[in-house]
Amino acid sequence: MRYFEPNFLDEALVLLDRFGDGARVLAGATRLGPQLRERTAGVDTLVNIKRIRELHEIRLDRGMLNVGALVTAQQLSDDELVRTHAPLIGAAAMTMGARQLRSVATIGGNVCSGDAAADLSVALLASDALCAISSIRRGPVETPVERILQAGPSGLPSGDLLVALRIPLRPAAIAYQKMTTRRGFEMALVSVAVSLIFEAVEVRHAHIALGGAAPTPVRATGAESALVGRTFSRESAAAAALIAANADATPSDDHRASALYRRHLVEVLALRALLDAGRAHGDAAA
Amino acid sequence: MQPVTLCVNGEIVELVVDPLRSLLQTLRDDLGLTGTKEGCGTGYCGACTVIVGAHAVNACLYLTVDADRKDIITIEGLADEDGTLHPVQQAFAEHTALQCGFCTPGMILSAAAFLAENPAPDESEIRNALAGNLCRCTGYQSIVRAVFDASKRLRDAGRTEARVGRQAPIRARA
Amino acid sequence: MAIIGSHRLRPDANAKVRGTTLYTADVELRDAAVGMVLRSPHPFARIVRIDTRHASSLPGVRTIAHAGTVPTKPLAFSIKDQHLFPTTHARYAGEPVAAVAADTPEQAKAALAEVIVEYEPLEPVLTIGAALGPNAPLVHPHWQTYEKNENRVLRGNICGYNRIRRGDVDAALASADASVEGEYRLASSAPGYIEPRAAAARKEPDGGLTVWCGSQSPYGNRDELAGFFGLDPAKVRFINQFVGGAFGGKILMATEWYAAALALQCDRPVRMVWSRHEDQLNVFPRHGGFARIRSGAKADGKLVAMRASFFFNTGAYIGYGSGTALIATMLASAPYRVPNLDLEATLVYTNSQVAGPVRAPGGPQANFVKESNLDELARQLNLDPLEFRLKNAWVDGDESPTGQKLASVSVKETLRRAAEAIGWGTELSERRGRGLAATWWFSSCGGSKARVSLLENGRVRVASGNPEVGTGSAAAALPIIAADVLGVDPSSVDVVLADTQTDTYDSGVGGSGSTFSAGQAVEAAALRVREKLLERAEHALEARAEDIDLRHGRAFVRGAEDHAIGIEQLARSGGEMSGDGEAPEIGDPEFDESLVESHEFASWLAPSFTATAAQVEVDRETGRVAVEKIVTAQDVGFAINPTGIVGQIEGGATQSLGYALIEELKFDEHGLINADFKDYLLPTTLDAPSIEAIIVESPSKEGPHGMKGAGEPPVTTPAAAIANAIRDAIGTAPHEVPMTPERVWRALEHGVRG
Repeated sequence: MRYFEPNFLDEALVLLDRFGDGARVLAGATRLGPQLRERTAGVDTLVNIKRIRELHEIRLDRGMLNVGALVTAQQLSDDELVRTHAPLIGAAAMTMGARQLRSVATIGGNVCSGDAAADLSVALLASDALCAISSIRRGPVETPVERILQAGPSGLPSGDLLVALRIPLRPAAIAYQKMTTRRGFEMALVSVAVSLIFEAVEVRHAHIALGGAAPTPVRATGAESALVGRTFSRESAAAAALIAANADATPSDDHRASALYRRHLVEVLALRALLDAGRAHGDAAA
Repeated sequence: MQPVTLCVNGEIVELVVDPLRSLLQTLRDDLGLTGTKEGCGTGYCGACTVIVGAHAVNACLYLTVDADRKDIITIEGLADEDGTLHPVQQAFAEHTALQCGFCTPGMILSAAAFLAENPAPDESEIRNALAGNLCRCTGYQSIVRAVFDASKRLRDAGRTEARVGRQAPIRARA
Repeated sequence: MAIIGSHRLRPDANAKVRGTTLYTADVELRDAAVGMVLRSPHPFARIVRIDTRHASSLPGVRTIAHAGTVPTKPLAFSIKDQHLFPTTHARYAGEPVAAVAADTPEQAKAALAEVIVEYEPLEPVLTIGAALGPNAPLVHPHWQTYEKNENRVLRGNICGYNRIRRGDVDAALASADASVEGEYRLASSAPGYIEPRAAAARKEPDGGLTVWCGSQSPYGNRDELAGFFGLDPAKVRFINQFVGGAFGGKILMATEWYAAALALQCDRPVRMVWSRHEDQLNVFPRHGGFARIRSGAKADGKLVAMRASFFFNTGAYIGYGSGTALIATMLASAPYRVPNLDLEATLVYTNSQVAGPVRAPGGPQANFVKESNLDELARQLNLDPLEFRLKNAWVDGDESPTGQKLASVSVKETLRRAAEAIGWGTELSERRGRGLAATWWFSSCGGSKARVSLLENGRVRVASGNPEVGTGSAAAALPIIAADVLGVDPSSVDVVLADTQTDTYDSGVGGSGSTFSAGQAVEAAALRVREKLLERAEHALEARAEDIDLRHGRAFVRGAEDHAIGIEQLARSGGEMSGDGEAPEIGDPEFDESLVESHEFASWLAPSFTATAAQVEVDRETGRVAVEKIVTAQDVGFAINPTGIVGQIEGGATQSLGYALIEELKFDEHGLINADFKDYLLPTTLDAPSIEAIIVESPSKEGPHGMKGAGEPPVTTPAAAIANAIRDAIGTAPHEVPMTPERVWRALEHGVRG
């Protein structure tokens, strides 16, 4: 097994390009570590990107909040810039597993996990985030996070590296709701991330992302349309939540919950999140 | 195989390890520090909690290569050099916040790291901080009581160290 | 008695908070080979052949064990349905079919991959319904050839049956003013110990074997292992380590068997440490199944009749599964007076994991069913659930369902105290509710031997076969008992536990009998030492033994406290003093045989009584239940180690909450789905409630100092109380455990499935 700890991004990209399909990126390795310790079939090269400083940074860059792929959930919960410019991400990060996991789980790992209810992925989806991806072949490219999430657990094509998540600076009223079986930390059964931009009492922009309601995190575009351009009220929120549940969500039965219950949770959590966001806006406006 | 330099409980250790080797495997099998336990191997029970830098982490998921040049505190390094128990350890013993003891090392380190960050927590903050440490024996109530009491003792003793346990003397750091 | 009954620091706490306590995986064993197990991928399959030739030749492989290399006799269970390795059929997905010992884990894994096992998959029986249906495939096609204990019921896929009957249930139900019927589904759940199973074994030059493990019953294990492999038991030594939790899941051997089998076949010690995933695949779960119950009462609340049928999924083999069915019928109507009863329980074979005696087998199950049903009946009669229970509760002199005369009954006291502590009857906000549950339980007095020695340095050594699995029954209670008898402080007592070489036989931890039995053995042994100590004191103080007291480390003449001598001094003056003791054999209480059918556990020694009150808040939209408080009032007869009892009550409350709301082993046609803690959920600090433990003391005749067994009752009632609290909050509760948010929501939306 070849092992590398490149100090710079370019080094890492060269290695990933050279070793192609047999290479894996180690970034915290909370999932990959146990997997590879079990069996390493098809993997002959490990590229540990922890030394690449820029991957750990949170900074403002070209009018967006740039969050390095190795930024941890704990960092996101504590960071001032995140609190100011991307509070939805911070809110989701705080619900994400116990402290031990939050200290090592990375935003890049979350996005590449393919989990339908990965907290940060759902929050990023509702934040209109972009994935900054680099490779030797194409150079730096920015892709909507939606595209990456839809690709599922297969991860990025070989040679590509997720370098950062870039989040637009748009002051919004946000909320994150999540439901699990137990009260302790657990992968969400269903989660809803909401980001609303108001003009007075009217909703200008609405972003609603659902976790655990489809094979991947999805935007509740039907619910969003029902809100935009209208006055926000409990009734409009309830109507939007119903659409989210009945039209935008496409859950399946699995051993953790039935599709019926997941749909119901979408409605309940969407309404709660929308009302939370509405209240936050009201408080801010007050 | 990758060379790493670890600082474990204040002592510098140099090893060569497989890049996929977990810190748990290194601590237990290579260094003989069996106080850190494997309860689930997947980061869900917290029995393997150790402190790396200032953070409580699951050693079963932490790669040894990622601990290179970092300070690691295991349960064996929490008490003072002369054997005096850390206030969290003392409180656990006095409140009988343990029965079988298997979750105890991880629970204690989790609590100690938390208190270093949040010296005056309320009960809900304590429960939140320890939610990654499973205990099947005690029902948690005695544990919460012990941590609460330890927080008072630490404050009364004026202990505000940001880092917990035996740290390496400055000169020995690479 | 200043020592017994007081709250004390656990003697093993110091080592445990330092992390220096050794559990089996921590034991250093030089040159040990790594043992690993190969498991069946099929829930049911004929094993056509096993070929290990290629695998044996791989680098580092020391030996491979399978049905062809170990004795072919069946294991010594009440039905001889199981072998160490399956000989003809693999009967559950995950069943070990072979084991490998190699120098490194990688080599062992590589060898396992090269062991050739040819299976002929068969149609599996995965549910009780499938097992009992007409033309059901047989889990044991040759059941008719199996040897079994005389009173075991064995018929096709049924491997246990018992019944308790009295009076005329049909007539009584017909005369009832109200009756409620219900069907209940019970998931199976894991013991949930945090330390996965591990064992190491080494063949000894004298033809013996040494085994390191963390067992609940090392002596029983030793005898069984020696008997199976044809070894002289005196040469088989089990060195029990501290155990990281057991809860009934570490009574039967698992890793111990395979480590021993491998060690006997090669010249290296063999260590086998299971991962959590492996442990879950072979864990002995708490029985799941279903139950039908119907109870009836008069308008004034007097219960007149109950009919209940329990069906338990015992998995592929009988193991130690029969207790659950026997206990369920003993609990189904207790602790209430029900003059007309028809209670039965059936054990069913399926192609799944072997269910076992998890802490209070049958307890949470039967109580969930019975207390839910009785609560519904009370509500139908518009009676307060507390008053309803008190009206029917047993009192001294009443008879158990099987005609056993009851003494030292504390049902009403435990119910009242639990209810009072939860604030029964006071205002509660809208989404909140309170519920009650009450039960009885037995004490066990198994065999136990002890040796107590007062050493020349003044320290007391207690050797007991009782293992320390966490409860403190050994590490904490035994020193207290010895110290009390000898008049010293418990901190001067050292306990040597469960090393079978010390020949201090103990039947193990389980059945709420540890302190009960081991405590009696230690007390008897300590009394013998006390006699010798007093003899020395007589000479030293020139007084008669009956005038001398032993207390606070001194022997002094009563009434002349200055006329004293230190016990340490007496110890130094003339060599070590030792005494042996044994727990007495106590017969089971009498009962009426005509009331039972094939029931082997129809009367209960020194019964205890427990009641729990729970308060919950329910989120009606999501179905999520938050348990705010659990109060358990438990009659322990006499509290020798109150700290230990509080620990059991608090731990039991949270464990029972897990049973009630969260925990469920899930299976599909390929076997266990949730073998990791990511998907098999245990209660965390955020799930656990505030817990109040109320110790009630209504002494028994038989227990040391009047004690009653205390380890199991704490898990038997909280789940049922939670169910009733949910019912109080939202008017209904699921008839299925765990009562996950989805199930609670469905009960609200669609009504309860009857």
